[in-house]
Amino acid sequence: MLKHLLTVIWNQRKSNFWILLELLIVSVCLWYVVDYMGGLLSVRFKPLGFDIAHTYRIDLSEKSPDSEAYIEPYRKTTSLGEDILTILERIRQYPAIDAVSLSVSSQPYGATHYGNNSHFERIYYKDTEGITAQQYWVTPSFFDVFEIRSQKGGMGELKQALQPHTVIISPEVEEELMKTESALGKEIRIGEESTSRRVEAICHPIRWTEYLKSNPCYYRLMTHADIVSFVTPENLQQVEICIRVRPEADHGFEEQFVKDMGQQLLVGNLYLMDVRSSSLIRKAIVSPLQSEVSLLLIVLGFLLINIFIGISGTFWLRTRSRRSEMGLRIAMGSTRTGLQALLILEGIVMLVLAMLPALFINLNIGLTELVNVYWMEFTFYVT
Amino acid sequence: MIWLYLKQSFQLMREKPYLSFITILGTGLAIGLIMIYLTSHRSFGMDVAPEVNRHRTLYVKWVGVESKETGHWTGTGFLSLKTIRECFQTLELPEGIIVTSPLQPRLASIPGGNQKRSYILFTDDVFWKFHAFHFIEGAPYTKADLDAGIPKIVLGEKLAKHLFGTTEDVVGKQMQLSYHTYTVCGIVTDISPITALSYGHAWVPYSSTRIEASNDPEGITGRFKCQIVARSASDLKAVRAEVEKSVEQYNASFADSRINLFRQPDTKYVEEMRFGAGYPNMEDKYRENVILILLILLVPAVNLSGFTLAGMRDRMAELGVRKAFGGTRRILFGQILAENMLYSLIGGVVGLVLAYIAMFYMNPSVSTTFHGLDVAADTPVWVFMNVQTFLIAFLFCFLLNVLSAGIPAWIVSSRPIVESLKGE
Repeated sequence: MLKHLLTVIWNQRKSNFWILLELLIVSVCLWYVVDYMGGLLSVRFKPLGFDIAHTYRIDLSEKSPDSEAYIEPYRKTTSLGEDILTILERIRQYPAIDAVSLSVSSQPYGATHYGNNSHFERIYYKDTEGITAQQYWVTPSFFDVFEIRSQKGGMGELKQALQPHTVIISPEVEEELMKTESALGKEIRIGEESTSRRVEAICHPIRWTEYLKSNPCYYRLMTHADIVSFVTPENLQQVEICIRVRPEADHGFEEQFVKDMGQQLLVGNLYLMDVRSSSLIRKAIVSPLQSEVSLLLIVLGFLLINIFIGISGTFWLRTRSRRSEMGLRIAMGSTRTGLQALLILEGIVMLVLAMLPALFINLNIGLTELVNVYWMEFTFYVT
Repeated sequence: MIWLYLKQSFQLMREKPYLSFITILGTGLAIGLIMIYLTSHRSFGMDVAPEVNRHRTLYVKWVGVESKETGHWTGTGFLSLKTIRECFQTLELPEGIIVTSPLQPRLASIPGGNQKRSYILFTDDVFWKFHAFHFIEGAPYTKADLDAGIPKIVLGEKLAKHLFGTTEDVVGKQMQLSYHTYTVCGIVTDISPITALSYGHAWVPYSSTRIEASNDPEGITGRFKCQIVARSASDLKAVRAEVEKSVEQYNASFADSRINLFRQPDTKYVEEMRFGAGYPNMEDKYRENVILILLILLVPAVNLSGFTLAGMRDRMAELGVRKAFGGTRRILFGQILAENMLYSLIGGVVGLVLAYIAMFYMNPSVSTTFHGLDVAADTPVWVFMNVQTFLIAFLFCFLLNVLSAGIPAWIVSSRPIVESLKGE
């Protein structure tokens, strides 16, 4: 049967050549589309490493000299950092709140390239040349607010592990810096720091958004003394106060909080600017990415439909133009089902023939990384 | 004659429903996709309330400073009021010069009452002359207010309702912006962030508060953007030439600095594509657009031309008879195109319907001005569709038709009569 099919295809090689060429192009296109969508699906539903439900960011701002009730610097007795700590304490006492954290360039969806608010350092182990990783500089309650878990999935471990002389690293840092060794208990150095820090825990991989794979990062403790010495009017916007609200109190929380706390948070020259839910911050970062992806999906979908139209039309016409041959076959004793099977099998054999060079082309596209590798590495098997 | 062709073509369509269906579907999808793409791109430059003068406005937002001696960059940024005054406000051709700031977040509040973080646009009085805002109450601030730095504010409807609970009798009342007291002088209906350059929750005179100056010693860069409104769209070229002269004069006033406008002033479309200081890569942008549209046109055209050719082969004998009775090549070629036009037109209508449905659910890609801000565009793209859109759709139908039927028609109509008659 197969031999017969191949003979039939060979005898019509002139018209079949174009069909084979079309099948070749189509299968390369299709492979690309499937690869893209598969990558998208696999990355879209992986855990992010944090949970933003019921979390909010509190924005503070400083009055300018022409504002009402502005305190001149020479009459001010507290520093900007101390004012922030006072505000932090007042927020902590607000009944609807579960946890409050202070951080610099660390907030999920906030500490990314998109907002120009990410901080990177080189990390060194022994005498290696080191790797670059993103720094999250946080108070221990940050892990409570965003429910960040350790690599093994435990809650609360990370909070205990974050001490003045320790550091928490992500699995990517462990892998790149230590290769096969376990990083726990090892001493590493961060940037220009003179003393080394002990790796006390390993966190779950952290991703910037749903559309990116995780990258090396580490957590460093922020103490109250750090805040007092760090904050200046110029970098006030980098200081993040994040809160987790009790789920039962999370109805119209923003408005209620502003109403209740607006006056209480007037400390020094600082005032409460806004309370923004994390989902709002997420939307601002993710929606441009989403529209980019959806534009590509539309174009890919368009290609897919056109592929379908092209192939089905071609085969339809091909069958029509071979009516006399079909008639001859029936006259020679071929049955209806036999004829159907013949045509279908012929199509499949041609597809297989076209797939051989297509596989070779696909492999090369993959190896030269022309496919999207922001989401998944190009490998030969599914991990 | 065309009518006869169309009738014949309709008959053929009924004979081959499946092939007709996929032909129309392929055409429709291509036309629909092109419509969506073009409409959303046109939306960047089209007049839309309140920015009703986009067609005759040029935009300048970045300035670079370089040293006359070494040619090195010494700074880039928005414009200072001084630069706007000397380079643009001296121009004679334009009808007006608008000065605005980038959007600024401020806390809008009533002492002891409601408060809300809001985006404020700092503008001059000319801003109101060339923008079609709808005032519910009150009036905009005037040149006198601007010159005296009087803290007056025009509130958007939503913000006014949030602060005062109503929009009635609000004019004349006081409120604060980041603890700086303002008097409400007008209330306008809210506008969409699609019009990014006039968008805000409230508008105030730029002289009413201290906007921190830049630390550039010559005072060239600052915190403002400028719009040049020409008397008509045909004036734009002349205005550009005048700007060049004026910039030369401005440069002459500095010992060692020279300003570079990076090919500004821009039209609205170019302004939209300009992301930061430096030259926008417009050639790449246009090429990208052309390639994408060609791809959308060519893929179905290749498919459809295959079908047309096969369909023609079936009718070879008929065409041979027509030739034998004196039909010229031109007539046959025209007939095939006209017949095929029916498919393209039906496909075009299907495409327009698809585009409408898609755009109804689609929000415009929010202007980059808002990237990272918590503002979402809530106007669907279809508001930008108009008569021109239909004309463009028709044009693309025609193009697709020529692309998909042209080559087969050429091949078929140039066959010798005898071969055609044999029906080979």
